[in-house]
Amino acid sequence: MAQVDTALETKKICKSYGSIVALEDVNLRFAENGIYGLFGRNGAGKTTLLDIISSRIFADRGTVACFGEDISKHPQIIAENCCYMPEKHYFPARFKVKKLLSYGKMAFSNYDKRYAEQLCLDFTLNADQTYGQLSRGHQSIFRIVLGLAARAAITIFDEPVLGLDAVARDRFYSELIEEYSRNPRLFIISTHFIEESADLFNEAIIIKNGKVIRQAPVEALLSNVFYVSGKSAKVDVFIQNRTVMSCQTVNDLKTAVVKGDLNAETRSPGLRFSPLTIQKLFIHLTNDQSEQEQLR
Amino acid sequence: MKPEFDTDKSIYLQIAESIEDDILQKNIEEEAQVPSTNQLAVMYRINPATAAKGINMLVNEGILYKKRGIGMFVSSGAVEKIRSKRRASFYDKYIVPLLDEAANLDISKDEITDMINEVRKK
Repeated sequence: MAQVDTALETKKICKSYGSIVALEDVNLRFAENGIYGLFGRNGAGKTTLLDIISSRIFADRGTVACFGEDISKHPQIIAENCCYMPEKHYFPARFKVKKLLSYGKMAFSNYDKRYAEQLCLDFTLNADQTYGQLSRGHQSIFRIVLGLAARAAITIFDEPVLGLDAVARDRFYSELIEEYSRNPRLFIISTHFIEESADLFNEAIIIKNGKVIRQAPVEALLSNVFYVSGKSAKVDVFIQNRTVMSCQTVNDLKTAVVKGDLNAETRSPGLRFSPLTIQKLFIHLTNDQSEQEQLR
Repeated sequence: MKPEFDTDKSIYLQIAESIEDDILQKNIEEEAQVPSTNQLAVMYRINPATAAKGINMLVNEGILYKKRGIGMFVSSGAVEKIRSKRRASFYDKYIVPLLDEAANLDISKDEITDMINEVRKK
């Protein structure tokens, strides 16, 4: 029986641009209610993936199902349920913010005009300015306002906090959680601000060179990897027969990133165990250099 | 409530411990209401499921209970439950690291005892 709570599902999605493979065999499932974080380096394929699941572009192979319907056969299902705020957007520069926001009702059936106005005040977005007059940060805020107020069943933000200062980013995170608590739905959010946003997500998806290398709750990702450090000789003994993701040596001291459950390790004199942050794990997983170190 | 989380521990555990601390220090009395999952989620900018995991852990341990349609409350007897649970982990959590650091600094057991007696006198 099909999972009833699945909002979006991709099966074996492939996409190439000429000889460049942008996505390869991407299989993902998004629940009806949940906030998903999409992490990946520049050029990893995040935007291509978001463009495909929102029907902006088409995959070469594979399928996307939205509430069980193939979006290539039923394109209206995406139009009705999905609000995609891409990083590159083409709003007319001469239009005032309030005019652009007034179109929200036409595009999104659940659009909440009052909420949009409140968000403009909260984020100090001047609705009388034209879109072209907005700074980079305020253009991002405009997308945030439109995306949240659209109240679409599926809301996708590509790099929503790009160009935002720390205060505005924090406001977005708190507004996202508040809005999600009030009106639970599916959010998919790509970001490079991994550490500060990680706690928002039900699940993190890590994409590398067009392939999904992880999809799991952040806590689960962090629970099977840890640092071990100490004298090189001792660390070397410890890491024998273990999967080592990377090693760093300073003189006679060594720190290794090892796969395994930190809580299952017993104290061992001269060795120190500690957990990774999600940002460090991301760097270890997606940095090609660390892989080469591992092969050596 | 603690203002920020540490990075070296699961957040749901820190949510639970932070509520326990407030109960032990009588910032929240027995039979009083604790913050809701959504309040915690917004305050800490964390996923509501994470906050719920921390709250549910305390419900399963009998430290909190749910009043249908109203919210989460501190059980009577919660203080004693938290105390006995934490006493059980006191040795591993506090004594072992204390002795480790004492060994690093070459502080003898007698010196530690003297320090403890000194504090107790104050």
